[in-house]
Amino acid sequence: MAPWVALLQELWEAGDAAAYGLARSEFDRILLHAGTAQNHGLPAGAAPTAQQQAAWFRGIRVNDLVLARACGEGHERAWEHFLALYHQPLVRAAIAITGSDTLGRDLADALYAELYGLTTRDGQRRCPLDSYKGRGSLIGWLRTTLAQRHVDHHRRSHRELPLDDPEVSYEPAAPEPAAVKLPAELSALGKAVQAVLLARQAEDRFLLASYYLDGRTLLQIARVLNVHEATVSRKLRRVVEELRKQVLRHLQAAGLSRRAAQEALGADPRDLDLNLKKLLQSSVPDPFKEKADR
Amino acid sequence: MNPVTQFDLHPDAENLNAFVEHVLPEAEQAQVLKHLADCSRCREVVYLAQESATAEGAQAAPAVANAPTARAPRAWFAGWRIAWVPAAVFAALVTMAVWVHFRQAPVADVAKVLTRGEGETGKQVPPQLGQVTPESMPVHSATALPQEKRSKSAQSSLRVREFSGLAVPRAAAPTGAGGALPSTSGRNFAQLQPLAQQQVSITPSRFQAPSPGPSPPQQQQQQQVQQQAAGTVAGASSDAKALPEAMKSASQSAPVNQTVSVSAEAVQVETEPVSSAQLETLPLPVAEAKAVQKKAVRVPSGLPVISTVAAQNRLLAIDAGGMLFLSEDAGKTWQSVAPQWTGHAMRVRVAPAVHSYDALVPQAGVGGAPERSVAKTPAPVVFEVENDSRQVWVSVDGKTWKAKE
Repeated sequence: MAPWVALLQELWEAGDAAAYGLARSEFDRILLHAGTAQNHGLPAGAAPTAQQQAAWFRGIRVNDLVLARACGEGHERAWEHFLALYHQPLVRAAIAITGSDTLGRDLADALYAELYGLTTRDGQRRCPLDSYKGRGSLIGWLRTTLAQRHVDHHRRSHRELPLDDPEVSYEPAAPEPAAVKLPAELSALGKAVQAVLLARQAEDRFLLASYYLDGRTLLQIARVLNVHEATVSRKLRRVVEELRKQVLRHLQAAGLSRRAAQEALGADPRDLDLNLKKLLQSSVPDPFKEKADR
Repeated sequence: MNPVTQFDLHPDAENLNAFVEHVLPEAEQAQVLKHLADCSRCREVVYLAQESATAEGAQAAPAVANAPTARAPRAWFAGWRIAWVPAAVFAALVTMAVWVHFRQAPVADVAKVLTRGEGETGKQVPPQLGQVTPESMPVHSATALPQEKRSKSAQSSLRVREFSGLAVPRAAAPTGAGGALPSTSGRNFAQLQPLAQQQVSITPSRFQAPSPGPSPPQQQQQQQVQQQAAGTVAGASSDAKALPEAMKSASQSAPVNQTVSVSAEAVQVETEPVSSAQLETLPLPVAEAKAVQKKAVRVPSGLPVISTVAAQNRLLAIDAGGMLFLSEDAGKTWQSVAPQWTGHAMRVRVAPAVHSYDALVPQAGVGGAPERSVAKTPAPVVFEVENDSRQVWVSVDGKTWKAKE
């Protein structure tokens, strides 16, 4: 245990847990519990060595982790510290995410209430801060949580209509149009596109979906992927060229001549029974393994 | 708002934030990316979190910049920043002073025109800018003022641009021309070049010395010429161009007892001997005459040329000794013409052009009626030599001369 003691002492001295009234014993307990819960970053079942444990502790944001856990456990001074540090940034992030000052403040207030543990489940107070593991920054985690809340709320509510609006007429849904049999070339083209898109790598599909479906800019994509904007542009061009070649190859493999395949590529996309948005995202995402493994 | 969102399907905020902050291991990064490729919801969350972080960073950057952090050590020359201003002003002043000094240095070489009877210390008339009074022309000398006087006279001197159009026919003197004009102290005025025999051309820096003066009759004639040129002559270029014409028609006499000091700023005034007869006898077109005159006419006798004329590939020149020379190759070679006249040859010229209408040739017209057509044939060029007694001899080829009837 000697290495542990030295490491915890080092982390205690480097952090400012004492500033918000956390005892050393509580600090050690929080860190050991977090390490055990995450198996020090190793897969479940693996036995971490002392060096791996030390590397994991040094790789995480100990201060943020201890603060989050202290807030989750209801330490008042920790909350005061949390509010002093993150109140204004959180409001600004919420306003930036929603694009509205009012909506942003509402979103931030709702998250604060949730973080403070007003939500209870099975008679127990639940604090989302308990899910923070210290891999990224606490403010980043808060932003991401805000974004999740906002997106989920939007996806739930953007189709809702007020029931008491007399001007809105509710018409029955139009019947599904009868399926029209497509020419063989177009049918083959739809199948080829589907096969090619599903065979692409995750990064390529992410690029295509972000650029063509979500309408993100090259700069936004580059920031997320941590590459240069020009790199994203080159990758996109390359992916599109490869897609075209692969679709041609698929069409020729389906029995079309090269000329017919090229003519099929020039077909109006509206003639195709192919929804690229559905195609790229209908693929039900695999259950996220970490959660599935949990 | 349901805070619990499909935990089994989507990465939680921890993983998405770690993905945004690029702190995930490669394996988990690829796993999250694979999910993002198929999940528009998580893509949107990631992009929103990224944008809010970027906006926060953009706001934090100015705050950080304004924070009273420890100041970086300043460069050693930063404290001298204020000193640059007076240094620049001082440098500008020095540059201006140098520029003004060198600009005024070649100024004010003065052509001093003195009257014959007054001597070289004659009364000076304050120079008028761009003006030379007609009284100032009769007897002439050119002198260079001392440097101290240059700057004083520069302000009221003739400007270069005012002489810029001056184009007087010139004939270089074999001796004396081209040298820097010496002081006229101690020189005899009878030896000074009459102004009418001086070609005044503008070149940028200094005067050139005159050649020995012509004979007294010429001086007298030139005095008349200059006195006739009433009004301003040397001011504007057009006036300067009018100088020869004014000289040509001059016939009046005028008092010749004044001195005009003409100075020019940053100009060079060359004075070369040109006879008044030469000025009169240039029947050639202007361009041709200028071309001939631009060439220095040097005759084998070595004496200064007092009269020249060029026509039909022949160039005739009379030197100061009264000898006539003929050149048929534009002055390259000369042959002496034996005097076939009495007295002293003073002037050579071309007789006024006349046309002969004697070629009236009857021709047969329509219907047999004779028609008369006029064939206008130019008469051949006739040269004239005038002696000091105003008697004239004529010649067509410049070699054989006979008295004019």
